[in-house]
Amino acid sequence: MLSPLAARKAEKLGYQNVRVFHAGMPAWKKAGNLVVSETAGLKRLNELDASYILIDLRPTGEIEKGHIPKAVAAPNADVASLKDQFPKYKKADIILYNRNGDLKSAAKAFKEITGWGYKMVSILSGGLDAWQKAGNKLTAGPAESKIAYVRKLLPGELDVEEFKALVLKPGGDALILDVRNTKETAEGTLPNAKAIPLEELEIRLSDLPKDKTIMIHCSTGVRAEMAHNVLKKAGLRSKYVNAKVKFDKEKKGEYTITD
Amino acid sequence: MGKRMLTVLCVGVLAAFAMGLSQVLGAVSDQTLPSKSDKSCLKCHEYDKQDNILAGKLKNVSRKAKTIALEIGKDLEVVHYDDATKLENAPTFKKIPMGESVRILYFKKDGKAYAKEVVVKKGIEVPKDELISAEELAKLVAQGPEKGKYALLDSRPGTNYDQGHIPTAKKMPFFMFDKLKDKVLPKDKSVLQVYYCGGFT
Repeated sequence: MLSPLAARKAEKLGYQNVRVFHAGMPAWKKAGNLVVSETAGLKRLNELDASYILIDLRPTGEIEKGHIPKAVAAPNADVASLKDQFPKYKKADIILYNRNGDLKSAAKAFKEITGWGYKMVSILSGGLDAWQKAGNKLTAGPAESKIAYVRKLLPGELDVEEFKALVLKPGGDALILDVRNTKETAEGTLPNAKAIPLEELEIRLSDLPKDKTIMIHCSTGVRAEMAHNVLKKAGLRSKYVNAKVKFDKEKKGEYTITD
Repeated sequence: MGKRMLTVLCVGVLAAFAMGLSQVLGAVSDQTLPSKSDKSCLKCHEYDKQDNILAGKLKNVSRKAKTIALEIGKDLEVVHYDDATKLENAPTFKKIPMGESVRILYFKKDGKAYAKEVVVKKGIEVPKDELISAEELAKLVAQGPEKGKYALLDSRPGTNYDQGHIPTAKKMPFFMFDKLKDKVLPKDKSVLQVYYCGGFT
């Protein structure tokens, strides 16, 4: 909502030809256009110790002379060969670069990756040259051979694999809480799970133990996160899992947990 | 204006002062609950002087549980809704865009926060002839600023720009506008300027 305000300011300064691209960045991306990122953005990801995917699109020979640290090679811009190493998480930061930031030669890889559904893809502005010019170091030798992306868990979030292990081997101080509605839980629940629909959670807080960590799931993770916040406010210890939990309608007791 | 109407008005105004204007405006049933707003909302609204308001960015909506989660600062507030909840500026709860600014008038029952009214922020109106579409802009960008004779300006915070922006755009965060204008804006006042940001939020 800032662009119309900025346009108004420009008009006040006497600019006569001011327009607003009101739908902004989301619409630009949705239309399949290229997105550019800055060296400063990549540096910030490093400072935050965030996980991201950096892909060097140059030929192998050039990559071995020097590349940006943590880069994975996609020699001759062939990103399709890396596809099965990409994470499921579609909002992963993915940065592509070549020597000078030339958009035309990076466009194919960009479109291929956004075509797989990734939403945070960009081409590094000015490429390797800009990175170096900003005083950043290069790594010599071969680039990383595999994408190593680990999504950082959000505060209160429980790792899906940990949750799966907990379902198979309950106990300790953990209690599994299912916050789906009664219609959904009638189709099945996880073993040892307690079920309280999110819509009833506040009035049934006394049903929950204070001495356990309550591990919350629903069918997607959306309601589980909401429930986590309700419990947090009530002073109960909890975590939530961002997982798709599905129950087999035919075979009672069969379920799948995926991220 | 009739004498009687004037009297009513005076009494009304007096009552408003007596109760504190905020209470008259914000009264929901008979509860007075503290308001909680995201800092960004308080730039233009005085929710902190009203009661029973929750204002922040929409995190998500669960249709199955009939709950709305609002992000207010670092907190997430979960509010229930039902068929009696009034919704403004959106066709259905599920259709409110994520991250949109939302104001909720709430009350509490059995420890649950209920929404009496949910108001989605209305976008600032931009005159139609001032708008530019993604296609038009893409054509300009393909030509480049020199050939296309334009300046493209990104109004979002600088960190957003660094993370990903439209090719050929210049970094011009709205809150730095006055500081940057001489450095970033074209000297020629007739040159086409296109502003964009994160969309209708």
